[in-house]
Amino acid sequence: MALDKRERIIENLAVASALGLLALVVGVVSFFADSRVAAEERAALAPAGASIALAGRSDDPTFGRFYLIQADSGPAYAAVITLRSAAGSALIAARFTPRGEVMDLRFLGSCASRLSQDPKNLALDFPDVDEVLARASAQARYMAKSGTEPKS
Amino acid sequence: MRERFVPNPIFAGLVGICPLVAASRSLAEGIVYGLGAALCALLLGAVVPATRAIIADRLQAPATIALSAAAALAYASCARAYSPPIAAGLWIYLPLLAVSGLSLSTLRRSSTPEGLGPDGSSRFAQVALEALMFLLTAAFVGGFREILGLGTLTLPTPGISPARLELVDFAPARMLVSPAGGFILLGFLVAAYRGMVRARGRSQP
Repeated sequence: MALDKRERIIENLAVASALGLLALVVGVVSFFADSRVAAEERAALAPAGASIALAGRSDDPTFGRFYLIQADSGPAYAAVITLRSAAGSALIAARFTPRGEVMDLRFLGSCASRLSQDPKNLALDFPDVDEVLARASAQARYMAKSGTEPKS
Repeated sequence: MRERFVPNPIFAGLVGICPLVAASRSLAEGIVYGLGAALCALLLGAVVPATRAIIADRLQAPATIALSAAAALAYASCARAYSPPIAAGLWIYLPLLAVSGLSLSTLRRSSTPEGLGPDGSSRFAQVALEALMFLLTAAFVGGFREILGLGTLTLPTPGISPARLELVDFAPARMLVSPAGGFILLGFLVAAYRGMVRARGRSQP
């Protein structure tokens, strides 16, 4: 038997509420997970004695957040970059000058790979590393030029 | 009375082998992927039969897929918070747990009106047993590939750098870590399992 209009509206509202509840649960879990990841990134990126603040976010799949580091040697931008290839995946910490030049790269961790932990040899395992660093470098240069106020 | 036998979902049913082979290249990835598939299946096995009474039949399929997707996304977030490198290694396969072979077979099984299987055992007990077997098999396949392929064993420890045991100082057969090598190894494991089951006089699907 076909449902009348009122029953259809109630059913649609019930389904929409249930989906909203699921979205809320996923959103809350993602929020807490994201906070924990951000805290780990800050701890991995900030050198001793330097202050670190979130400078901006990126839609690039290999790096999500950019941080502004204020050290005695001057300001720098930093990000945790995820590299993937047939050899495996790895996380590296990269710091950039406000002009977008790579200051240093540091190997943080990997899974399922026997990778060289020397950042100079990254291209052996990840052929696209230069392309990824070029995009991150452009992002650092853009943020320095746009003068975005860092978020605490 | 007929003895109850639940075949291994991976080795006997070949359930979810493509993402398993692509994602589980190490012990840590195998455990995290297998645990996600098992938890999603358990959640679906517990919740879906109960929703039959409150959700209209024509809305069952989209509602259960939405529940599966929510469970997979929440698990992916938790895995990323637990260990970013392991989650990075599992990549798109964590959210895709929503439509993994184990989740879909659980959905199909849970959507039938009968609460009992053909041998009289409860359907949830079967789902739980399959989920446990999937987790153990995924961990075994991941660990086996990593030991034979790379000579290392990565442990699923929390943090940005998972603990790793280096068993030998060279990669014995790096190809086994690639998807092609994973399928070859899985083929041998499936053959060994089926031979073992046949030797014990069990019927197989």
